Amino acid sequence: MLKRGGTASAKINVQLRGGYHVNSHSPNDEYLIPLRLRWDEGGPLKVLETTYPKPELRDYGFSDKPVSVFTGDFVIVARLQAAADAPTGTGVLAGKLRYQACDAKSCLPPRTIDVRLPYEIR
Amino acid sequence: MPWLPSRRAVLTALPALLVTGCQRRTERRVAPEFELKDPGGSVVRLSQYRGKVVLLNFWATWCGPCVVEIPWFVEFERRYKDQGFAVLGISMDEDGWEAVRPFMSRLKVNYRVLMGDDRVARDYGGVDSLPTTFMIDREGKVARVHVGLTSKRRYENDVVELLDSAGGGAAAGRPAGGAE
Repeated sequence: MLKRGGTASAKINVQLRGGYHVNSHSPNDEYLIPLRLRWDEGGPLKVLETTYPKPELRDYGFSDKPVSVFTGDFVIVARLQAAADAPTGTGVLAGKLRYQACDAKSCLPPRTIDVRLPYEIR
Repeated sequence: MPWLPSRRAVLTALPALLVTGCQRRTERRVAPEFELKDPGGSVVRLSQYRGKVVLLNFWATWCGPCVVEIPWFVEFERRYKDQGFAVLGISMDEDGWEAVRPFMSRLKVNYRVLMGDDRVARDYGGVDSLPTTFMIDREGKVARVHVGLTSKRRYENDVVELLDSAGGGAAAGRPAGGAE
């Protein structure tokens, strides 16, 4: 819930299937596909900042250096601001989460999934 | 159109191939024909390789386990090329040659790489995950499928077995012990 002109933080919980990892938002190889959450623009809410958790540096047999990844359950935080003249009421902020997952021996193709964040402006 | 692998397709289309060791000749299925382009724009068909043992590797630049295998394939291409063997790489990169060309240069890829599409992935059972590699005999039939990172020795054993079984005289190129 936000007030007109006010700010708030929203948590987006991400759950990853056991045994898999996704590249973090800042992978340490130019060819790796980063995790990225992009928000739709043009609504009454503005996303001031999207904060990803601190990546893990993990060793995998397929890389000669630790890989910057997320595993298990993790949280992405979006800092939001409602426009001063935003209409009151409820809405949904839409976004897209792009990621690419691997396990220790194989990789799945990159995917993009929809993220929907309900909100209320008072 | 994006590449949309289907796990179900893999399980239904190729169950008999997911076994240990090369399949007996009589049980092998013909590898699906394809027409794909190489970096120079030339159309390449699998049937052009009939009579050769082919290691057909689906991969992508963003796939760490795939990158491990590429130097092995470079070595196999060099070592067995003259005995009727060829490596064909099929890239599943969405960004096309722009991403793949510099990568090939970096890894000094000496074998032919083609740009994959939805159709070839579907024809080969969905290609759910990468790397996925099909060992194809001289008759153009799939002798074995490797899904995921596999050891260099396993690949090389397959290559030698298929060259030998076809009377290709690969004994001189047998892998040395401890070649994992």
